Amino acid sequence: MSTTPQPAFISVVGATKRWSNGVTVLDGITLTADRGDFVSLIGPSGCGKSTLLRILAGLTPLGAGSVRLDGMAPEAAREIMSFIFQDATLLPWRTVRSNVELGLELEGRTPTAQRREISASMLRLVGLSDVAHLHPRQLSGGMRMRVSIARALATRPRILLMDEPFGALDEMTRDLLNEELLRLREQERFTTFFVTHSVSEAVFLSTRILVLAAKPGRIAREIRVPFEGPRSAELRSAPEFLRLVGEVSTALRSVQCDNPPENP
Amino acid sequence: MRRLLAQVGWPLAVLVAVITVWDLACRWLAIPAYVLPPPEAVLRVLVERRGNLASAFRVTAVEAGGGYLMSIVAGVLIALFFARSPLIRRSLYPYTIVLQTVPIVAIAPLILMWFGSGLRSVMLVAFVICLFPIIANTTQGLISVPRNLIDLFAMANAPRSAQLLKLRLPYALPSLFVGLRISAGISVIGAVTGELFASSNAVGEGGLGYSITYANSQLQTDYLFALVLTASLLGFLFFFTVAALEWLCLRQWHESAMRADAD
Repeated sequence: MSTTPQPAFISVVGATKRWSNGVTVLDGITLTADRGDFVSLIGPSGCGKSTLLRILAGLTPLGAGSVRLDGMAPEAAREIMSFIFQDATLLPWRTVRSNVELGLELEGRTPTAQRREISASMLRLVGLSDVAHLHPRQLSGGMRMRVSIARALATRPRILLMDEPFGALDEMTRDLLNEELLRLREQERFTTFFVTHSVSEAVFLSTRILVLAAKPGRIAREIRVPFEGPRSAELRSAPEFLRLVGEVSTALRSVQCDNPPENP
Repeated sequence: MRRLLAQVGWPLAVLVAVITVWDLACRWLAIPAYVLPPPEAVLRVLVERRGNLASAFRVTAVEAGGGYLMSIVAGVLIALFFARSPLIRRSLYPYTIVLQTVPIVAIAPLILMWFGSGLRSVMLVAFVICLFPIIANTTQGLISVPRNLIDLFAMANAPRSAQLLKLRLPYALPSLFVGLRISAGISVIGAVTGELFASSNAVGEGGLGYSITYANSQLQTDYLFALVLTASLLGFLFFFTVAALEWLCLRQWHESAMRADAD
């Protein structure tokens, strides 16, 4: 890792987390991310990738080590951070528009008229202007996730934490949302940490992929994704893309073989 | 139209069948009127004594309604307190179950002894019987808010009050309504039971329960029937008011209301 004169945008040093039952979920994780990075965390279940994400968000307290986001501790950095969960976590009693405005409303700094404007533009951004007045249960899974993304972006976050957001969607919807996420990133320039189980999704989206190993959770490999310029759907069939998918898959497999299932 | 017919038609057919069987039984088996009055005698008494019935209805409605409203306020407040921590729930929940398991006929005389045999005491009996379903259901709703939603509010640095008003309470609303529906019906049971005990002290204006004791002691079985019907009408009214309110509040977003809508 190269040392830069100024501190990294996001830095995690020696992050360690033990559950109360003695299991070490994360063991001395050290990583940095620059502005605009898209870092995917991939690994077998139990490797602590979701826990790492929750620590970055300040939702899970850190055991030992330090986490800095733009020079702030996680709790303070929530101002510039949004979290997107595995399910869309929309409030079923609110309309789509009012769900998108939730973050701004809770912060309480934006007047109503301006909230309206922002939610309208966010919904336009994710292509859901037509359904602004509907309730979440009237939407498909993919649309709900789009609303969730619009809500996260409405507060103009500089850091986006995504915990396997497309895991429950069918492959076609997932591909579409992947492309949409890339487009949003071009526009909004947020720095992303992205937990996923899908290798091709990780390669398609990321600038860097961290392969985590389990028991205890640690970074086993870091793979840079060197594609230049804007990415499009065609990238998925490019030889370089497929080579990287192969490389990540191999890394993932070797990590899983290191930790054979324990038989008591 | 066909849906309406199916919804109203079948219950109506059952009603007609029951009344017919009842009428025939009275004629053929020669049952004395003080044991089982024929339907037309009940109908006649319903019309003739509608003034008495209406005033008894009013008294009981105030008692049951008052106790019901009190139980909603107290029940929701207690549920909010219970939802604060598992420790509070573990230490206090068993005592609320006592409310549910001790028969109301055992508590009613105590309440009347402590608070006198007025309208206030009868209201209190209704209150006690209504309380548990509201506490139990609302608490359940408040504590089943998904972790991710709570985290979402935490990420927005939302104050506790916002979490309560914008997340926990709306989330618990469907469960609260389950409790409200159960308690709507039993509030009338509570009020009538309370009056049964209050009647020995002869409250000036008698409600349905008081009148039932009176009709029973006078062997006015047709009037007794009319009173029981009036009492069920009251319970019905409470229940449907709550059901309508529930539909209004939840129809936009909750599964239960939507499903009823689609039927």
